[in-house]
Amino acid sequence: MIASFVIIHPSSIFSQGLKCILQKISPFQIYCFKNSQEFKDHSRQLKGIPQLIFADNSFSEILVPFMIKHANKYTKLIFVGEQEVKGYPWLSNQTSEDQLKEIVRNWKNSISSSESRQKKKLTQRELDVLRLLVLGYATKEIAKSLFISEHTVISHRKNITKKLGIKSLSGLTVYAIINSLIDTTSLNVDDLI
Amino acid sequence: MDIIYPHHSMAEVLTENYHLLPVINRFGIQLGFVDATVEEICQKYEINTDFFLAIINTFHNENYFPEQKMQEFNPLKIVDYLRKTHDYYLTVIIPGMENILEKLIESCSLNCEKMKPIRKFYQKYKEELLAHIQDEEQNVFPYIIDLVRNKKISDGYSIHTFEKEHTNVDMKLNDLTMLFLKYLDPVYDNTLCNEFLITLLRFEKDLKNHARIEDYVLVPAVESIEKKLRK
Repeated sequence: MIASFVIIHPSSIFSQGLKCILQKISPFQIYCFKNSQEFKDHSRQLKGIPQLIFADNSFSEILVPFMIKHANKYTKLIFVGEQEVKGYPWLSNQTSEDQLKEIVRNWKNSISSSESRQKKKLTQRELDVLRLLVLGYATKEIAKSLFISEHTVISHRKNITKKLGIKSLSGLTVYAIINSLIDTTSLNVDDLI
Repeated sequence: MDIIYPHHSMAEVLTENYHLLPVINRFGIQLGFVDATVEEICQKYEINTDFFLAIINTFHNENYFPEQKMQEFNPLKIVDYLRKTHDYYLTVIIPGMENILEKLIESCSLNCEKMKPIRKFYQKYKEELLAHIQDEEQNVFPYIIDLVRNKKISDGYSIHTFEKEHTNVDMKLNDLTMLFLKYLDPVYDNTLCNEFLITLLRFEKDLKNHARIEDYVLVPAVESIEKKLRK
């Protein structure tokens, strides 16, 4: 499982301390940032990776809207400080190491259970979308010919990519060819890739 | 060692992380260090030690961001380094990878139809990579060189106008690995396939770090010049 911890706190003593404890709990990468801007600057790097974020509550005004916009569903934000931030879990001076372990364990469970729940086999509908996609049809055309919305086509494409582990259209085309999903007898395969 | 420091022995640094071998070559550094430290080697080759450390640490440790020292680096030096990297890709890695891929495809004796799309996929990837490199060589780097030498900035232009995202280039390499690991029938020679995949994965790692150097060393250094010139 790939995941990471993120600590956003102005005090490096705090960050280093929390880092030590987290290291003992899980072997994930740990990123420390001094403020929310630093975190935002590096967030592209962390895109797509489940993150458990510990942030000083002074950054809540910036981080809450930012995370709503950018976070994936396996990202969890926890605030740290004397005052609670409404709607978010909270770590204070009173939090014990065991409680912290519990928080991490729950988060890990939520990631791994949703990972294993996903079935890897493509559904019939996904196969239909994949075929048209690799034959060069645009989202709009696929939607029209399968009587579904463009939005649904896009979400099928996302699921296909997730299940197969292949992101590029050329890669999906090669997959379709080697699995004989499209009839290549009348086509020049090289033009498709 | 999490972070490499000036007092570390060069030989030990490379024992710890052999991925740095091609990186030090790009600085023109040759092996045979005896017990020289990183700092001594840098002095010998007249390389700014901080700059050298920023580059090799960015490669060595994914958590490393050389932020404080960034503004001090001369973007021309960074461009020079990046050009050498491109040159290494074009003259060493890509021909090498291609050579193994061809041998791998030839090693197939039965049911080889399914190997053919792989060749095409690779060619397509190569075209994109070359276009990306060319774009940097012809548009991004000249912009930076002009900015540093002439100290003038045109309205509406910044480094962000030129520098494009690297995700596409990474994506296809990963897809190629996936196709071999998960979906292709093993109709080829195993040793050659291992060799190909190891080359591919090493290149992927090198490219990622190359992109990190552009994003975290080059872009901030250029931004800081742009900021000064706009004042």
